[in-house]
Amino acid sequence: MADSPKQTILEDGTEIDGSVKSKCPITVSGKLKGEVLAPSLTITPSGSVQGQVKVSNLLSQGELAGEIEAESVELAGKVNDQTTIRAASLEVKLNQPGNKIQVTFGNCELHVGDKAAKPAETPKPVVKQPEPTPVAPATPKPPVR
Amino acid sequence: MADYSREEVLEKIKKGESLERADLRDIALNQAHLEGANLRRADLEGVNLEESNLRRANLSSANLRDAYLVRADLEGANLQKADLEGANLEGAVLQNADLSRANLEGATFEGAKLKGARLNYAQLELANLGGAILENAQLTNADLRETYLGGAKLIKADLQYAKMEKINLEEADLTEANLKEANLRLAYTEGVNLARAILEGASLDGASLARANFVDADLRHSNLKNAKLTGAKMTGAKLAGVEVTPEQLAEVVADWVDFSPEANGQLKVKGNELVQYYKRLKSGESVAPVVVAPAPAPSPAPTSQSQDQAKRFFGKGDVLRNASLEFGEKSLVEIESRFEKCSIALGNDAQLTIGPNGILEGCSIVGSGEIIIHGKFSEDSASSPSIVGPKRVIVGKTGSVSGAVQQPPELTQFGFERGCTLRLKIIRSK
Repeated sequence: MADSPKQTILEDGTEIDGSVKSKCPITVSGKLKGEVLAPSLTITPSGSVQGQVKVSNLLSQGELAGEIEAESVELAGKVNDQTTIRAASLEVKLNQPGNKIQVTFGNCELHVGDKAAKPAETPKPVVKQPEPTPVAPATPKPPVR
Repeated sequence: MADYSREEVLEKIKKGESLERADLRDIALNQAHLEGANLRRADLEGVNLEESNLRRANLSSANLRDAYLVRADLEGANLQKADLEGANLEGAVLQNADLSRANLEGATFEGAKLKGARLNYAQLELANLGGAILENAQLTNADLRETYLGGAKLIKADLQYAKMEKINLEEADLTEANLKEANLRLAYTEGVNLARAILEGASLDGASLARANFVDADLRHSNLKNAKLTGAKMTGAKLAGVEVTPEQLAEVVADWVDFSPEANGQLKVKGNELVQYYKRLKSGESVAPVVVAPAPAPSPAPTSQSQDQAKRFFGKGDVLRNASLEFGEKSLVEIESRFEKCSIALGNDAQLTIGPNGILEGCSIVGSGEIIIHGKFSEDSASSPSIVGPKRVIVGKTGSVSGAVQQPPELTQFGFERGCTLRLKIIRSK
């Protein structure tokens, strides 16, 4: 059987207040407030991240707020007030058919392109990484993609 | 003598029997019901088939010389390689019929309906197709020498590589037709509509093209030598590599034309500069920067949408400073120039495109239009936010924006392509 890639999943219904540093990609379907350091961060439509984020790749379909630094960012969902995004590249797709707004922006700043982003540092894990690790409620759900 | 009588023919067809290679000469088959009949290689020379129903009949390689097919219904019929020389098909219905490689020399198709018909490699020399409907018909490599097509409708017809020497296309409609590499030498085409047609590499040597409509047509590398172009409309025509003289170009009517090799609108020349531009081009002088009218360049005719929308184009090389510009509802504005400290007001549903060469420095854009940025936009910090109330802001991969966008109450729809550069502050509506 092939090994499934390690991933840290924060399930819907879970809230974390604090810092998360991971060598694995993180998927957030719940709420995360604090510092995030990881190679990649995916925020699903039910997810929300607020705080300082330093990642290589960020895909957000949920709610995002705070100081965001990434190499590559793809945005949908919502960007809250007082948010600054620094990235080497940013993509916001247009939802052509219904002309619906794909991403709503509050008062925020976007610094994209040449030298806008500092690459995410390789995090030094504070704790030993668990095996496929759901930081999850008692009954884990499958990860939302 | 014919193999069968009229009654026998009708009986056989009723039974679904084949009449392949049958000799049916001199039989009156007018108003006969021959739908789906197999008449392959049948001899029908001089037969009266007036108003007969020959839908989907197989008449491939049949002999129909001098046949009388007035108002006959041949929809979907197979007439491949059939011989119809001198036949009369006035008002006949030939929609989607296959006449490829048929001999139609001297045949009459006046007012016939040939929409979607296949006439590839057909011989139509000296045929009369006056007022015929040939919309979407396929006529590639067809022989149309001295054919009469006056007033015919050839919208979107495919005439690539067709031989059309001395053809008469007077007042015919060839909108969006494809005439790539066609030979129209000495053609008589006064008042012909060739709007948005493809004439790339076509020969129009000595053709009479007075009052012809070439709006948005692709004439790249075509030969217009000795052609009469008096009053020909050429706004938006693609003319890179065209063979023509400055004297001929002096006779055309155009707001602007496009000399870009790729026909992508990157080298637009305004009408009143056309002759001078072309002279410089031919003499090998530098022709950059290209001059394009900052005046409205409406695209005549095409779609209902574009009829509603006034277009403005500001070309590469122009510089506009400290100007106030106001564009009405549904305007289409494209900027390839440099604007400095200009204020732009956009009406509802107006669309402002800053092209890859466009630079807006210290400018402001106000209004509920759509802004597409492939070039550069930077604001004057003293007048921030510089983009106020847009419905949509799209920044392409080559686009760069430095400034602030104040959204309307219903929020702005943003689109950003990878590769764009942003120093952007987004502000909610106050």
